[in-house]
Parts: sequence; structure tokens; C-alpha cells
Amino acid sequence: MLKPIWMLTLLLTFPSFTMAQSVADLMKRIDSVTALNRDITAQVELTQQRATQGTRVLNMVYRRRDQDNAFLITMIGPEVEKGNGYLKLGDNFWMYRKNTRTFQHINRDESIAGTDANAEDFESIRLVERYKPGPEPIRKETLGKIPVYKFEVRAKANTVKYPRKVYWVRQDNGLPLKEESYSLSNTLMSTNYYLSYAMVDTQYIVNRALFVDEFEKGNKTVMRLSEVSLLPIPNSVFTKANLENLSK
Amino acid sequence: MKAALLLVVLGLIGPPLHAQINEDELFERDTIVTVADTPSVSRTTESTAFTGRVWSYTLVPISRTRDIGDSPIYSNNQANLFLDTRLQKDAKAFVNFEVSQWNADTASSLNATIREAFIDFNLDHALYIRSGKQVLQWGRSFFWNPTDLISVDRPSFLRMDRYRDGVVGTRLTWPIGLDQSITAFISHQAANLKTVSVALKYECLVGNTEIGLSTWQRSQSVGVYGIDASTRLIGLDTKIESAWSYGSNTPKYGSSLSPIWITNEWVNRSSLTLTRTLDWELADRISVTQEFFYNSHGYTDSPFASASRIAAMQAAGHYTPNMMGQWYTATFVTLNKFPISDATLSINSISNLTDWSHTTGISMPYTPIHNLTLSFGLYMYWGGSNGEYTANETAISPEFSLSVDF
Repeated sequence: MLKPIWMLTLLLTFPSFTMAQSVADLMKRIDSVTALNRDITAQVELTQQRATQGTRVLNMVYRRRDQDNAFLITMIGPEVEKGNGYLKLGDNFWMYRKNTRTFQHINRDESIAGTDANAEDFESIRLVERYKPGPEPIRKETLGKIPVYKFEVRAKANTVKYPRKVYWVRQDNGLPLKEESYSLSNTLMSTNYYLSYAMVDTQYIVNRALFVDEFEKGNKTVMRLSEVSLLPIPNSVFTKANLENLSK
Repeated sequence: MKAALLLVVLGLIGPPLHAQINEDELFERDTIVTVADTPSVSRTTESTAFTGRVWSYTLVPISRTRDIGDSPIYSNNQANLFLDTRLQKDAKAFVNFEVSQWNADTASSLNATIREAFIDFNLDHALYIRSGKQVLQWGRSFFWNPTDLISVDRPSFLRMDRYRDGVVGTRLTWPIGLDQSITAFISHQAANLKTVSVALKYECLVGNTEIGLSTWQRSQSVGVYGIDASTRLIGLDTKIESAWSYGSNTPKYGSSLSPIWITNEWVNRSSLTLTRTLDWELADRISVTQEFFYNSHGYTDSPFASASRIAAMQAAGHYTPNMMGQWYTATFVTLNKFPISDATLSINSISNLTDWSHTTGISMPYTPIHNLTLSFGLYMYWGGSNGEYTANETAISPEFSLSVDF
């Protein structure tokens, strides 16, 4: 008679024990639907609005290969940005600055062309690798008319930019629709909205997103993908030599 | 179509600037999930573009000994025009043409130069070739590059963002897979074929560490061998660079003003760079880079006490600023979005630890609108008298600059 009571007490006292497993399942699902099995090339347009400086539009060519955890971004507009670029290969990230003709080899996330979009927004999410389930239980909510799960994750190591994130993901296919990022002091720093996805075989890639800077109100960046191509990308593309060749 | 897209974008992002995002509106329809476009062949389109930068800076060097009212005013107005022309298959030509005008007192001078002019192409992405006058990064450190014996124009501590003068030559890069490459540079800046210099470098990626092995050779000169690496250790972006030669390609000058060549001992130049970013309200808002430089062949006394000694070195082309002493250190601190979001505070300092002289600069670039930058700076020269950074008697130098990129 006591046994079921003990079990019920355990479940009520530690609901996160069972919920953590479910959050972990959601995290695995996100990783599996957003990791691309094919190469992808696309044009990306970032429209950045800053409260004090106004609006500017940046264009880039974006090439990505998740099997090598690689991407290459080359800025093609406006002319003052043209020639700068970013190369990621595994855990290595290089920024190329055309003015000084230098590659900076860094091991941290970096803003792309000073916008609210970061390098990690252009690669596979790898949630399971970088984060673990948070203590809060999963909640069912809606975003607009779309049923979603809301859950929290915590960083496994301090190599990521934000130690705490909250996700809203579609209940039907596990695609993230909204992501809140918090600093170590639990201040909301940014909110990302993933507004639409393009299907690539059985995976998905964000093709329209809104990045909102919560620290400096009024700053936002809209990202749009277009001219998506699934042609295989030669290995030679993901090299520093090629990035420098494409730059000014 | 583009107008419609712009309307959609503006609808998403503004105005009003500080309005809350209406999530119900953003997600009022089901998330649009579309099939990816059919594959298309990407083409490089031919194009020619002119861009550039116009900048102007004014500085007032204030002497330790003279009355402040007697301080001269120097101003430099400069324009760089870039020609970038692209052909098929990523071939291109690039020219950086610079015109600058110096004003000091009532005198002025006008200079025009071509900083870079090169042609760049590749053979099926298996070999990349760049030939002409070009600036290239040979070392890995932030300021000192001991393994770089190619560049003719070193970075300037006070003007880290200036356009450097290129070196004339041909560079060949052969990528091997994703994680290795071999680069060769043949310098054309030589009196004859016998004095042409050649540099070779092998680079590889091992985990999160990038390693390079290099050599520089020229007939009738001492060969130099180098190693460099870039990695992350205990939370620090770490770069090391070390160059070795048996003998020196640059003589020292004693009080007799005659060059003294080192021929029978190893000469080493090494640098260590450590970079750490710190969070302060924003992630990675503060960046601190500390760099150390060692020159085994450097002066242990201070040659700067003797103007004639320095003049003899300069006349013979044997003077390289920021490398004459044996030990140096430099600190570069950047505080982004401070004190306002469109400004950056930079504090940089360089020290010659042999003669204990220093240069410290505080600057604040401010970008009120895109592509326009105003900057206020203050540079101080302090420490031991007759040191590398104190010999010219300037104690402090305020500076103001403006630049427009187009």
C-alpha cells in the first residue's frame, strides 16, 4: 500500500526527473531535424536596424556542410563590407578582415558583420553537445496559432556565449520557433524568432529569422535566405586560401 | 518583388523602434515550410567596383620641454581608392591607390602611392596565385611577427588600421584537403636574380590548433626558420611565433657607428600573444590582448640616446621600430559599446622593457551613422629618458580623426 504512495510522492517532489528525459528527447529531435545531410549554398540578406544608426542591408554568400561542421560566409554587399569573410571548420573559426588582410583564428562565437546574428546562427544547432536540460518542466503553449513546447536548457561548458536558453519548439516536428538567450546574471540578452524553414530532404534550414537585441532596445536584424542550391560543394571551398581569393 | 520584400522586412523590424514584437502576428499563420529551390549552378559574375575611404586626422605633439603654446599642429588628409574587378572563376585584380597630404605649420606635402596592385586567380581551386604588390599575413601574432621577413611595411602601433605598403612578389598557395596547405612567396623586390628571396610555409590544423612551419631564404643572407601556432589554452586564445637563424641578417651598431654582424651564434625572435574576452553586461564585451616579444639580438643598452647611432641605422636600412630592444610587451584593451552603443573605448600600450620607455594611447572611435567614424585619441610617451618611445621629446599628443568609407 505504501509503495504507490512513495512513488507518487517521488514523482510529485521531483517532476523534473521525468521531464529532464523528455527535454533531452526534444533536444535530440531538434538536432536531428536541423542537421543537414547535404551541402547547401544560399544567398543571405541581413537587414539590420539600429536605434541610432538607422537601417542597413548586408548581403553574403553562405555555404555550409554539417558533416565537417563547416561553413563559409563571404560578404558581397554593401561595397564597404565586401571582402570580409568568416570560415568555420570544426571547432576553429576564422574571421578575415580585408582592410588588414589578416585572418583571426578565434575559438568563440562572433557577431557577423556587427549585426545581431552570430556565427552559431549559421551552423547546426548541436544542442545536445553544448547544453543539458534545465530544471524547469516542459510546458505546452502556443505561439500565434502554433502549438509548441517550451523548455529550458543550461550550458554544459562555458565555451558557449549564453549559459541559459529557453526554447519554444513546434509540437509536431520539433522545429524551434523562438529562442531566448540569457546571460550569467540571468538577464535576457536576445530573442530569436525562426519564422520559416525550408525543407532539405528530411531536414530543415531556417530561411527567415528575426534576431532581437534585448540589451539595446530597438536593435533588430532580419535574416532571409534565398537562391538555395543543394549542389555538392568542393572541399576546396572551405579553406582560408579560397576565402582570401574571394575577398578584396 | 524586391519592393514587396522590403515592405515585409520593414513590417517585421520597424517602425516604431521600441515597439514590442507582436508574436501573434509573427506566427498568425502556420510556419511556412517550403521545399528548397531546385539546384542551380552558381556563377561568378564579372564586375568592376570602386570603393574607398577618405580620412583626416590632426594631432598636436606637446613637448616635455617647450611651452605648450609652441606645440606644432600636424594634419593628414588622405584618400584611398580601391579598384576591384572580377572575372569568371574568381579571378580578380585589385588596386589600392592612396593620396595623402601632410600639413605642418605652413608647409605641406602631397604624396601619391600605390599600396597594392595585384592579380589573383586560381587553377581549379587546387592552386591559388596572387602576383603583384600585395600585403600578406605571414605570421600569426597580433602585432609582432618574428617569422615575417617578407613584409616591407610593419604594423604601426599608433595606426593599427592604416593601409600598409605591399611587397612585390608572387604568392602560391596549395590547399591540401581542408586542414593543410603549403604557401610559397617569391619576392620580386631584388636587385638581381641572385638576391631574390623565397619564403615557404606549411600549415596544418590539429584539433583546434593551427600550426605553421616556415623558412625564408636568400642568397648571401642567413636562412631563417620559423614555427608558429594558434590555439586555445585555459580559456585564452594563444598564439606563439618563433624565428631562428644562425647569424643575423641585421647588424648592430655600437658607439663607433660601424655595423657589427653576428655570424656564429643562433639568433632568436619570438612572440607570445594571449587574448581573453570578458563579459560585462554583454557577452565578450571586453577584449584584452597581451603580447610579448623577445629579440635575442636586441640592444641591451639604449641606442636612442645617440641620434647619430639611430641615423646610421636608418640610413643603412637597419632600423626596425618596436624591435630594437631585447624585450617588449604590448597590451590592447577594447571595450565595445562603451560609453554608448555606437562607440568603442580602446586602451593600447607598448613598452620597451630594456630601456623602460612606453607609449600609451586611449582612443574612442564613434560611429554615429554607418560608414562615418569620428575618433578622439590621446597618446602619452613616458618612462626612462632617451628611450625608444621618449627620445623624441613628445610627452603627450592629442589626436582627432574623421573617416568615411564608401
